[in-house]
Amino acid sequence: MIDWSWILENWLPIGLLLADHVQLVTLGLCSGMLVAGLMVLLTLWKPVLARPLIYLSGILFTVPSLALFILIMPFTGLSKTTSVIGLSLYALLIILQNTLAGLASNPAHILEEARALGYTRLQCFLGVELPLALPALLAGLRTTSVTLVGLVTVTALIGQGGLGQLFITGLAQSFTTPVVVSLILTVLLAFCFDYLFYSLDKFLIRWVR
Amino acid sequence: MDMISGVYLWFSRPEHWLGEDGLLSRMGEHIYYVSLSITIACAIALPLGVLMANYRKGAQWVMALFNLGRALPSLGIVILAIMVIGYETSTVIIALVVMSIPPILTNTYIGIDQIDSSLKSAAKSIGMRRWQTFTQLELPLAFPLIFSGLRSALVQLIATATIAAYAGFGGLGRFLIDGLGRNDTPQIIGGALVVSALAIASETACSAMEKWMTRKWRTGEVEPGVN
Repeated sequence: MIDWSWILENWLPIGLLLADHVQLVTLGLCSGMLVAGLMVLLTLWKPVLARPLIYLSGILFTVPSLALFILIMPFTGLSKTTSVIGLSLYALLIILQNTLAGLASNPAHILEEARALGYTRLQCFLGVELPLALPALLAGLRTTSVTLVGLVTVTALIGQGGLGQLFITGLAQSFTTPVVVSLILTVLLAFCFDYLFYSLDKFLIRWVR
Repeated sequence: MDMISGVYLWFSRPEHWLGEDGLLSRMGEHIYYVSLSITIACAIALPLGVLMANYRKGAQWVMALFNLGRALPSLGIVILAIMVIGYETSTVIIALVVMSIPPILTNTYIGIDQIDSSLKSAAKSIGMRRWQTFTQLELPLAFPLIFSGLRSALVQLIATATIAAYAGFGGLGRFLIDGLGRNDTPQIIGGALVVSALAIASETACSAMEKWMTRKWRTGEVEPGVN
């Protein structure tokens, strides 16, 4: 089932695809985080917007990944931009849901106390609310990164896809080795991202333990 | 503007709706495959989750399985299944079932495991049998989590069934994959819109069903005074 000599001969292209995969996940994650951050600030300014935003992201999240990528395609074509926009949309949805849920679960009396101590709205958010919601936020990032690693492979169908391209190669040549290699590497990469955010969580939230 | 009128024209042709590979029969196929897979997945994952929660064994395995399930790329699983077992519709169904077991199993396990054990002791002390405790206490309390597992499995199934068209599978994904192959933009966009509408409609239906069931059987809540 596995042709080791193929792996030895092709370690360089495989490595390049892996690097491409990491790049796509990182780009998607970063831009998703950025937009999610802006939206959270928006809900801070206009709290009424929080519910519709959660509802809207819930609806958008149900759109099948391939369909989402394809619906972006008319604007940006078969390019890396299309994959990054699609990936960041998914990232945005998961991060936004987790962060807003985390912020909403903060006890209301803490806000009152902060205000009584003379905190401004922004000071209260940065100094009190955000640290309290940090566990939920990081949990969201863990889920997001693992999901994105899998989603990147789908973009192989629109000409991108990092390691996902090996699935296409394997199917086209009826050769299982690339498919197995890609599956194993994808899962390992997902666990690496998961572990990264897990360690970040342990490092940042030391006060809980 | 060109694109929008192209898509509109594509939708307005009756031959794109009717016939063997029209939208309606492809939609029927898609719904059939998805409901078949989720039924099989439920038949496996629900009893297994209940059993594991009752014997409190394999908790760490359940979580590992859940993480693995999220990390496994669906396209790869479908392609590998086809290459190893050979191309049959049933092969793709097996792959779809395998992919939707983790969310259902994990949520069933957690849903039953998280129930306050004092409630179970109380049920025992007022003379409820094991089966009664299960159907009247554990199942209703775990219902919201079990149902949300089913919902995420369903959303994932609709998406994976679409991707599986790449490996020759039927259903709505055909419009996307064939359209990509022929560079037929109106068809790709049309197919993507229909499959998105299907996903959103089933999610909305699930959410309405959950609200209705919660109201009817008051699942997921403990009567005041019991705790």
